[in-house]
Amino acid sequence: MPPKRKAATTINETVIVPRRLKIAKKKQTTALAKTFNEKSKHWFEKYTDADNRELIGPDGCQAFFNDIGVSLESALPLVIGYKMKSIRMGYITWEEWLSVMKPELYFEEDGRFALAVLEWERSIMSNEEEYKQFYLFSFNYAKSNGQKSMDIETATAIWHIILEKKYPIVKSFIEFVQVVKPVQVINKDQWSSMLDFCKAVPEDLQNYDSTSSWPVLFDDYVEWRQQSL
Amino acid sequence: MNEWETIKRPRLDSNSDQDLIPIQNNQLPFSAFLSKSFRQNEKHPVLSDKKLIVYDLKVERPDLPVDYEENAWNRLKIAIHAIQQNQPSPESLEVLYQLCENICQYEKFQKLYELLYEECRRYTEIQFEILANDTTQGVDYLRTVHLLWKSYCNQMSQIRCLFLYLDRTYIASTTTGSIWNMAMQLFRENYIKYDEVWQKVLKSILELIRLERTGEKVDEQFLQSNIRMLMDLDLYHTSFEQQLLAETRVFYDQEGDRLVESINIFDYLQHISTRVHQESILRVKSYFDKSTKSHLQSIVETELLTKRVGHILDKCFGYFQGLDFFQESDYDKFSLLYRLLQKVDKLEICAKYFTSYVKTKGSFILCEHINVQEKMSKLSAFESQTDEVVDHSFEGDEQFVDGLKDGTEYFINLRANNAIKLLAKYTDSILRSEKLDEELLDKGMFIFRNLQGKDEFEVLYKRDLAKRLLLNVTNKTAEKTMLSRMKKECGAGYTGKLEGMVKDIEKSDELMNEFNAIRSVSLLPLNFNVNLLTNGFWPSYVPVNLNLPSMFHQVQNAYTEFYMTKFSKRILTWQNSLSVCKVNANYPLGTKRITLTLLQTVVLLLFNDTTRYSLSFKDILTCTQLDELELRRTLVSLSCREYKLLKKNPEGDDIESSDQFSFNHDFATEKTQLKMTTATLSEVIEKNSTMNTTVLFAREQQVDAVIVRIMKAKTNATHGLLLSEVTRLVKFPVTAQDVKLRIETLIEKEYLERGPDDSYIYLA
Repeated sequence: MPPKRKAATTINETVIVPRRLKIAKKKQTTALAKTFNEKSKHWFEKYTDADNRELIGPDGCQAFFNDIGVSLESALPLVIGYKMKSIRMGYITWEEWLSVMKPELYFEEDGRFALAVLEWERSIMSNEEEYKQFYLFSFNYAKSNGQKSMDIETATAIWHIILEKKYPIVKSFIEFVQVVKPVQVINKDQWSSMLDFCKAVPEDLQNYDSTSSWPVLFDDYVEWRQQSL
Repeated sequence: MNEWETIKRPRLDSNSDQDLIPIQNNQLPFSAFLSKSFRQNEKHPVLSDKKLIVYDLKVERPDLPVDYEENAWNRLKIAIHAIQQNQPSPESLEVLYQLCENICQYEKFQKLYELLYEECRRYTEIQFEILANDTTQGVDYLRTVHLLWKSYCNQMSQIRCLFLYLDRTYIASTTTGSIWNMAMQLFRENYIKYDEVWQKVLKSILELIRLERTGEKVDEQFLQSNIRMLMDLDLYHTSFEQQLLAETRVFYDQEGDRLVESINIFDYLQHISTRVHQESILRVKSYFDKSTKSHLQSIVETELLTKRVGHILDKCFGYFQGLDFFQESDYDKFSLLYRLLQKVDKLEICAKYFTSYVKTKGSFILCEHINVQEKMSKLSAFESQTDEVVDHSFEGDEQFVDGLKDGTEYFINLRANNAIKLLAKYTDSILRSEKLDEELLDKGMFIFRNLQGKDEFEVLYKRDLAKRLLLNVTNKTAEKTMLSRMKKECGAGYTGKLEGMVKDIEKSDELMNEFNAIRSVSLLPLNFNVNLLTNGFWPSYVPVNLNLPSMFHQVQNAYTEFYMTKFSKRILTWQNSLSVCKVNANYPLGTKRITLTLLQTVVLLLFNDTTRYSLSFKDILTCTQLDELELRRTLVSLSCREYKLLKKNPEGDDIESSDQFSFNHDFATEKTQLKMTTATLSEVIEKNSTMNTTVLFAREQQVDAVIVRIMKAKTNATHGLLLSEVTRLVKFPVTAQDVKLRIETLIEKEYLERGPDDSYIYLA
């Protein structure tokens, strides 16, 4: 529960306010919320298709990100998806929208949301545990619906966006799975092992132990690197 | 303190008790008690030992004349000089001895000793001075020194006799210990002082030893006596030995360098053995001190053997690699190698060489381009030879037993070596022969025993067995012998299906007899024989769609009816593609008996219709209702191979769907019996038993099953543990990567998930 609201309730409990006033105040807040909600809904519907007012589709998403000044080439769309707990990339439902668009905080006009998104990104990138959650989330989020694995283009694109800056080893890994030993898809196990791999193995592969449980894809990668060294 | 103790303890102790009390105060009570009781056990030095002590005893003795001492010494000096000149003493030795004793009695020992010492020192120094100026070299010089040494010893022992009293009393109580020691000390000191003398002596001795090592005749007695001198002078261990060992090292290093390249490697080994014997036994017996033995031996071994062990083994095994058959002497060579390396603890590396020898030699034989029989007999000879080597030459050493096993397993299971195919081919050829030679069969069993991919072999063997049984080119006792051999190695589970196949054929024969007995003889249009193949035992064959002429139908129905009366619950499927027919063909040039497959027969029978000159491919296709591919294959065998029973128009080796076929009236051959089945039928039988799909898929499933079974029992396991368990349980060779891939699939399928620290968790 956000601290702000909690503070409000304690005041309500401690200070005796006449009932009439209380009701009036409640009415006022709900009314206020209503207007906020309406505003938010209005903002939301700006991007929905005419036939489904509860869902923003891929085109809508693109327009939305454009409007708030978020580049599609950056990690920010993923951050937004992660914060909204979106199920699928390129789609935002009304509930998902509502879960982060605190009506009293973010307005269409004032660009505060874009700043908040940048702040989210910063906190995710700096918190090891949160980053891991974010990374694992992006697998289900970004893979095509109904597929078990993620196709290689999406995977490498996301690695490039969110992993490569932190872990330079990713660059050659992407080259490996795209060029040296073309791989069709990345499965969930490989995806989650990738982060562990980046964390555990330095750029020069000093401590890589092929007898441990790394997926074979990583063994192959390391073998390739060691051959070319 | 009780009374008894008071009585027993001497008075003196009460004083010391008082000493104790202040200490006691500073100590913990029990430790005070301890120290007290400790004191009680101590005996008083005076009261407890019963000794008679006499104080102030005075002995009356006349004073010595003033010049007695000097006089006596002069006389002694003259005697010493005489001895040092190797001349008889001018005075009686007895008198001289007395003189010495007298002086000593008057406690002038120290003076006397100093004089004696000075005299000896001067003499020795003079001698060394002479030696230092002697310019002779080598052995001659050594001889001079040795002569001096001999006489020096002699002289000193005489001098010692004179001064025996001094020696026994005063000198014995000093650090020097004896006149003899003094003499040795003087000599040694001079060696140190006159370093050039010492170096020359040392060099000469070492040179003598070197000469002796190269096999030259030297005076060992002389050498020994020189070394004895060094021992006596206490120079052997302090400086000689070191030099000797360094010299030895250089000597054998050079010898090793020279010989290892220039002589046969086994002569070299023999040489090492001789050298070790010389250094550790002979030389020590003849001149070295025993204490040097182990050093010498280890130097010889290091320089000649240990240092070059890789090189030596390379050469030895290079030689063995080139041998096809071992002679008696070759076993001895292995033996020699073993015994030498055992001494220097290098067997491990030798075992590695041996293993790799077995690997490469075995692989070499397997890859040779010679016929199967020859290859097998070479292989089995190789096997018995290596067995013999391990048993006798290597004395059954466990490292080598394991090494042999590893090596054998390796080369037999190396994929590129194709031992499985070789064995299948070999057993097939043996079992096809008229008479079974069990010895030949046994040769094959050695491969079979070491085969890891027995499942793969089973597929091939089954294929060949099916061929042998269906084409009836085997004798069943031989088959059974072979199967019982395999059963002994692998258990009944392995051979069950194969035995079932043999039994099937036997049963079929019985049933056929039964059928022939009860059916009405003349009713059927043709003679026939049926083989019943139990589904599951045999490779699975895909039934071919075929429009059979009515007479075949009639026969098949008759048999089916008969069979159903006997086994009503069973289902009978006719495998037309496996059937064989014997056909009489009436050619203008004479009748031929042709053995054909059923498919060939059916096609040929179409040409009995003389109303049509030729049939098109499409006609035949509709009449026979054969699969198009199957028909093509059949037509190729009839019109494009050795015996062209059909004429194809246009001619060519491929069948086009526009081709026309007609009966070949001009067909001519010398033979009256033709067989056209082998190629085609074998193809059919083989087609269904390709290795890759069946075996590999089954293997993956097995690995999966094993992993799941282990994880179910353990719930979680580390990667290493799981891997080792899997390789232990799975009955065919798997690599770590294979297992890893299966684990990944299982993670994908959510049987497992990754846990912390390289482990997996079972998901129930």
